[in-house]
Order: sequence, then structure tokens, then C-alpha cells
Amino acid sequence: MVVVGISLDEELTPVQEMVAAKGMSWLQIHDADKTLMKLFNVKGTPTYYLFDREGKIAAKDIPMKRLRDAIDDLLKK
Amino acid sequence: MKRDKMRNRSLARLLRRFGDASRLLGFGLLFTLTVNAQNTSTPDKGPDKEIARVQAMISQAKKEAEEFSKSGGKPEDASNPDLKWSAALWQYRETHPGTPATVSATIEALRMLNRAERFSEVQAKADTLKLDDAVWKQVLYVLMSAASKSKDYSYLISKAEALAQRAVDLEIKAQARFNIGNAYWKTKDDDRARKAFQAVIAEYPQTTYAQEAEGNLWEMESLNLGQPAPEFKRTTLAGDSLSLASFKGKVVVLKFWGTY
Repeated sequence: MVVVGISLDEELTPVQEMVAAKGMSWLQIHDADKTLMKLFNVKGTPTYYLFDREGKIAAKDIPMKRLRDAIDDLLKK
Repeated sequence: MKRDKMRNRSLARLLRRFGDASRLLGFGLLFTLTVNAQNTSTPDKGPDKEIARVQAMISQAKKEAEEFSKSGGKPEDASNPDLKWSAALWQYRETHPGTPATVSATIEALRMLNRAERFSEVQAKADTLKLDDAVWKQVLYVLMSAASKSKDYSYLISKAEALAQRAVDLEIKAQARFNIGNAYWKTKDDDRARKAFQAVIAEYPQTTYAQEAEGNLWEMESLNLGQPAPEFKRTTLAGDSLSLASFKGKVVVLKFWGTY
């Protein structure tokens, strides 16, 4: 499984600080120009997208409490 | 986490102990404020004083609502304090038309009814608002929330249609047309949703609703479940290049977040 964090912050420094402070070890992108936000029509944070092994959209706008089950289901496939 | 739980528990204890006293206080305040609200405002009472009075009503109502839900009250209960405060605020609206304080009183009254799940009362009250009332901007949010909770978008759609045609404020017209699009999208009527979003873009190109409508049209076309995720290439904070396509064979989680 790959996790990609996409920060929508305007400034880079607070993102770097939080990534370091919380030890976020997964991949991080700073979407300062909001192109990824537009590409995935993201309206607020946090927003999750899940893609299956074929790269197809498996879930979107999924609430945090259902996220783990949805990931587990995909990993079984 | 643990500390939060402990804090919540002792707060709950405290609230139980003072629950009755604060409820009494609430009734007293409700009475005073309602009586005051019935006296029409005189010139020596500035708009700030009126806003402060409405704010006092709203914050007391919030306190009682929190207490009510902590003690296990259900939204639809007749004893939900949102109901009496909604009535008090609506009465304020009717006795004090056209002031800034009236706007917040109106919106809060409707929000409270919506929280108490009195959807038909929300609609009956919304029906009394004139289509040129500036309060519609926020009222549309309440109607959207009510529609989503009751899973019935028909009232929202008919009201928003009237606003899109006859409201005076361009922003409200754009918002109403945009809400119609969202309502049809939620009810899986994609053709009508698309038409509404296209109308927002054509008729109100300068508004933020036009941008949001563009985004929604793109999502309806390209971001449906089962469609291939759109490819992107970026550089990570660590300086490595990243392409979504390179993750084929793996499950991918995208998390959009912010430090704010």
C-alpha cells in the first residue's frame, strides 16, 4: 500500500514542521498551486481517495471511520 | 486522548450538578429576552445593543443544547431546548424587521429547527421570507442541510428555482442555481445536475460558484468510482519524483490535508 499526503497549505514551512514533528513517514506533496486539489475536485480537508491495484477509483469522499475497512477490503483483492 | 476523556467525564459531572440551576437560569433569560424582544426598539438602543441581545440568546441556547445532548436528549424530543429558542428568535425577527440582529436571529432560528429535525417547520418559516431578503444566502445552507438529512431535496429544488429566477442579488441567484445542481447530483439525476452547473458557468462566470460548478462537472465526467484515477507527476517534500502510474499493483491512499 502507498499513502500520499497532499498538503493544501499556502506556505511550505508549516507543512515541513508538522511532517517532522509528527513523524509522518509517508510520501508528502505540497500542492501550493492547488492543481491536485482541482484535479480531484477537493472541497475541504481531510479528503481521502482510494485507488485499487489497477489504478481505478475505489472510494472518494469517504468518512474517516470507514477508511480502515475500505482499505482492508481493497488489500484483500 | 485519555486526558480528553477524563476532562469530558468531569465536565459531564459538573454539568449534571449545575444542570438544574443553569436550566432555571436559561428559562429566566429566555423570559427576559423574549419580553424585551416584544418592546419595539427605541432610537437610544443602538444596533450593537440589539446584536448583543441576540448573541446572548444564541449563546444561552447553545449552552442548553449541549447540556441536552450530553444528558442523552434526542433531537426530535419535544423538550429539545432548540425548539423554544428557535421560537424566541423567530419572534425577535417578527418584532424587529430589517436590522443586522434580525438576520442572525432568523438564521439561528432556522438552524435550530433543522437541528431538531423539524423539517416541515423549517420549510413553513422559509416560505414566509421574501425572495429579495439578504438572509437567503445562509438560509440556502440550512435548506441544503435539511434536504440532505431528510433525503428529500424537492423543497430545496423548488425554492432554489424561485430564487434563481426572481432573487435580486446576483450572488444568491448563482448560489441557488448551483444548489439545484448539487441537489440533482445527490439524487443521481445527472442530466439535470449538468444543466444547472452549465447554467451557473454561463450566467454567473465571475462567481466562485462558476469555479465550483466547473469542478463538479469535471468530477461527474472523470472521477466516478471505477474510472481510472487521473495521472499526475509531482516532486515530494523529500525531493523524489512521484508519478501515480508507477504505483500500479498497489493500493493507493491519497489524503488531502492542511496544517490550518
